[in-house]
Amino acid sequence: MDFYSLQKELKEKWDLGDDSWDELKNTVILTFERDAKNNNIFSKYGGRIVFRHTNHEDRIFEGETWICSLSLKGNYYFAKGLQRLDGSFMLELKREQMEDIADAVWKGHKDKIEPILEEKYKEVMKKTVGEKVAEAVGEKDSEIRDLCIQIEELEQRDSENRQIIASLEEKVRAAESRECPDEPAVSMSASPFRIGRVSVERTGPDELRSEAFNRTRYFVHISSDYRILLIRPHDSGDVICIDNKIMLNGLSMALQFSGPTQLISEYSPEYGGILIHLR
Amino acid sequence: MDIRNVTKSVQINENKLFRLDFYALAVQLLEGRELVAAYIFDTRVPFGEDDRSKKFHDKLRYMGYRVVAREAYDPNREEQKEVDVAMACEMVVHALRDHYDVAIVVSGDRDFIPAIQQVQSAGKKVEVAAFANSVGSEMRKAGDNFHELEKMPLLSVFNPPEEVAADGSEEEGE
Repeated sequence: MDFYSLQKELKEKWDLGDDSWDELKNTVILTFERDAKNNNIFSKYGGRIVFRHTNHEDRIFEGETWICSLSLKGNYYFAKGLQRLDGSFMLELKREQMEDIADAVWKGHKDKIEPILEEKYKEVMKKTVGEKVAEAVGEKDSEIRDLCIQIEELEQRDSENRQIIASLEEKVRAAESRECPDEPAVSMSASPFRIGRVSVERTGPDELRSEAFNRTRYFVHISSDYRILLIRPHDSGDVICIDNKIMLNGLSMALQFSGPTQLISEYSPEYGGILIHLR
Repeated sequence: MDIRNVTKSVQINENKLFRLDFYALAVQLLEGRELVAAYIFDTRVPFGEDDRSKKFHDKLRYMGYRVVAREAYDPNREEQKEVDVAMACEMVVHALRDHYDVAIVVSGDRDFIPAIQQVQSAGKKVEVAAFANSVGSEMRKAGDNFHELEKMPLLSVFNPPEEVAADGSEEEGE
């Protein structure tokens, strides 16, 4: 429905007299522009030029759309602004009113709007697809990084386990080649399982050795004042033990090495491991 | 545990060779007592942003911690907000509901003193654990017991990394 048809419908609906109809007929929607030649702000209606009414020159600006009341003087119309049609005006409309306007615009200008919307949809789709693809690629990259870390850790563990197996096989071979003595190899008094003092020797800058290191894996913790070192056997331990020796990264930094020494050590029931007093 | 307070303190002592073991920290502070719950308080970036601490929080959760991460990190001032109040509230509320007998506050921040006093007045014991470089005398005295974290074996030690020869192959061990 165009604006004139709407006016006629309203005239019939409200049963307007001639005066009121003239007034309604002269109420139109206009968009104003600037005349590049004379620098005047104007619009066009019914084949005539529409200038701003002197009382409204300060209110109506270039590029604005207004519901205006027109008065004809000579060959020109003069417009008084009644309501500016802008974003805030649209937002204040009721939902049904907005839908009516959108419906009217769509019906009247479908052929013009469709290509614009199609272009817009394509852009939005392109952007959305791009974002989703980037997100998916990012997630996959992150998963690949995590898997690489896991593979690295497993390879490290595999290498450690190979070292442990090799040392154990060496021990088995050595034991098999020895003749079986009549007496027990280790007396009960020399058992490394006894609670109390434990003999731990520092054999290198980052190396500790003890008969009590008879398991293959340990968790090792140091206090931040570098005074105590806790060595606790555990199947999932980070530190491997080969031939009763443990290599610890950074031990030389915590305690300077000045030749092989015995370290004051004890089995600690509280911690469930060997506690070594470094200082 | 106010995790930023702890990690900030241990950074001074800790280097790349050793790493703070949060699991060992909880186990050693327990000293054989029954654990009701271990809470860690931290901040995180708002949902949807790239959160670098997420993996760290997941690791802590895997260890058994309950991680309470507030969306209140101020990146400009590099400080966290709401965390101490959240931790204090949790401590006081659980004390008043009689959920525990002993609370162990792992932080040297003296902002916790009023909360500690409230918990004590509810009939509970409070122990404080912190590194010496992040705790003042008031906080040391606020609890019924003080744990000096720098004297506890809490930093994980590892094997030396395997040496790689110039041609890229791993060297044979002696």
